[in-house]
Amino acid sequence: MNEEEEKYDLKIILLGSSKVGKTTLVNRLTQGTFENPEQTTGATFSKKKYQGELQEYTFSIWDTAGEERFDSLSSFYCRNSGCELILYDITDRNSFTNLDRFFDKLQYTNEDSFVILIGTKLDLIEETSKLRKVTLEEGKKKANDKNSYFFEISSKTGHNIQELWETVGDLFEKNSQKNEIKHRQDNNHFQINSFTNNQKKKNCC
Amino acid sequence: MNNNWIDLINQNKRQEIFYLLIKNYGFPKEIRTQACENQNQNQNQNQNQNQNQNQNQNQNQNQNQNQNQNQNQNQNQNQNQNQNQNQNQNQNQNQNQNQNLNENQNQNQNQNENQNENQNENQNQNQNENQNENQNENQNQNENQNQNENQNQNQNQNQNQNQNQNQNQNQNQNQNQNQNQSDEDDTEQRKIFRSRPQILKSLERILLSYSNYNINVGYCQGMNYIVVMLLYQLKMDNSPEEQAFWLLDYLIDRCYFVGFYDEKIPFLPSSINIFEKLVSIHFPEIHSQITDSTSETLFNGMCMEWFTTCFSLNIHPETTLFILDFLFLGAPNVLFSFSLSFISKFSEIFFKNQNQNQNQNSYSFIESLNLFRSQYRNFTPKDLIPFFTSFHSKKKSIPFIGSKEFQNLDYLHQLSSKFYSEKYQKSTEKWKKILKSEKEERKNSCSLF
Repeated sequence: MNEEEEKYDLKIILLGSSKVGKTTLVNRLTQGTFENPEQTTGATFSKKKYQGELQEYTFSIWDTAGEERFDSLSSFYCRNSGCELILYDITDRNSFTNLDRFFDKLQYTNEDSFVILIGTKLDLIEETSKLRKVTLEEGKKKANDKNSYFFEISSKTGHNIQELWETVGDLFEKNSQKNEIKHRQDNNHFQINSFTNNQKKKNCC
Repeated sequence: MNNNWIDLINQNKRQEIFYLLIKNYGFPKEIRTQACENQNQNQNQNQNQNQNQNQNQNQNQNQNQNQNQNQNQNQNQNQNQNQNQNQNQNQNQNQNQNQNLNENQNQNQNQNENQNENQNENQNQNQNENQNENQNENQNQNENQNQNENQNQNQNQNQNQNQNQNQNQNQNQNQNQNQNQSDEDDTEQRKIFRSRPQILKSLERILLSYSNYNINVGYCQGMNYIVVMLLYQLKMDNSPEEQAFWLLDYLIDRCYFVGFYDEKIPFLPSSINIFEKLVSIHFPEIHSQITDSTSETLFNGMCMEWFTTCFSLNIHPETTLFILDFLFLGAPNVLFSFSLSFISKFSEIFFKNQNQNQNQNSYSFIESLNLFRSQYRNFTPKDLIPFFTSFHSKKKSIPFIGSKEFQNLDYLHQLSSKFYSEKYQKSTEKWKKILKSEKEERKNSCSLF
């Protein structure tokens, strides 16, 4: 029966408070669409293929319920996960201040898993910049503190979605090549700097 | 017995199937007697309602006839007035005609249940605009005061009115078409919201007032879907918000749903555990597939969705109402038996697919379970009740919620404080009797736990 589990090369988990846009991100990644979904109770599961340098991989993406009282169950979903996407809403300060409870869950995941912190709903800020409640620097700082990568995305316009998916694939390939934990920690700082540089250029335009 | 309820389902008689099931499929005596009382009451009410409906229909017909007569009178007057060339009267009568049209259309719309209130508003707005236009034209007529032109314009106005009517009819048709197209893709909740947009506001009011009323529980995901189903079913003329609120309170406080919604959710893990045991007993082949973490998580997630929303998310509304009926009567173990009948439906599909694709192995357990989750909203009670009855005929195999199998039961009793207040003491005695009789009967029959 372990064959079933090995079929999926990487288990990706989406975490974050309710209404930050976890399900819309999954829909954008898997179907390329943007629509208003039903709220998630329990957990839903979808898969997406990633074309690596040498071979094609299949990643499973798990979407969990964001409400706090389901936390005890969602730690169960974190088992064996290789990648955690932790989401917050740029226009909602509370979703950013509550982030720590999701970082606490990382103890249940694989040792060599990597974390990506994601600020969502970037399209709202492009319309009116007043709506922004969490600055870009705060997000970066949080990601640096927690040894994770950082993105600001928009599931509506598709901004940075492709980049996000490619980094997930890249990191997975690097992880599978070198399973040393040290490597991840060394690589983190370099990676963050290169991403943030890209971010700045895009924001200027 | 089986033929009986198939006939009833084909005739869409949910109530009668419900009482038939209660009486014949291993429910405790208390529940059965209560069902009999309710059935008698309902029958009396139905007879009264039918009489009222007949009366109403007659009244409506009379009204329609009267209005038609009015219209005819107006038209006659119009002709006379064209001859008399009284412009002011023309204005008034045009308005009257428009109002009559409004009334007629509103009545038609009330008869068509599927049409939106929004649409009503839009149409009314359109008609008001038309009225304004007509008035403006009439004012212009006042300025011109040329008799010939006036006659021409009056004719034009009449033509305009006819055109407006046609346009409105076209709009109706288009809207119906749009509805049909989008209905195929949408979930039941979206359909309900589209058919009655005002539900959204009353939903907000109910949930806000409940979270203030019961601070220990507050709001939890899943309540909203249940309230929508309640509002959808309750009659709009009888203060549905209040009824829905108290029904929600009953469901949470008396049907042990507090265990699904409290901050510690003491109930959810244990009910999922019990359900997994039940699956291992009734469907050992399915249970043998749930081995790795992926399938386990997916399976548990599905159960969680069923229990926390009380089968009201992505499930056919007829099925949901059926389950709610059982819950309100005090038979909460149907949560398990209905989930088991969903699983039996799934095992049918799964093994059929496996036999077809034995060599290819194209359908893994996880993929077919994922596929099943998108399919099960099409299942009506007709598909599920055959399985449902089979579980209940194996007497007492489905544990009652709140029975010994549940962990943290004491904590649960603390939560539902009203459960022990004077107001509900009688009902608790009832409950204790039910649980006692259950235990005794279970001792006699082969106990599964």
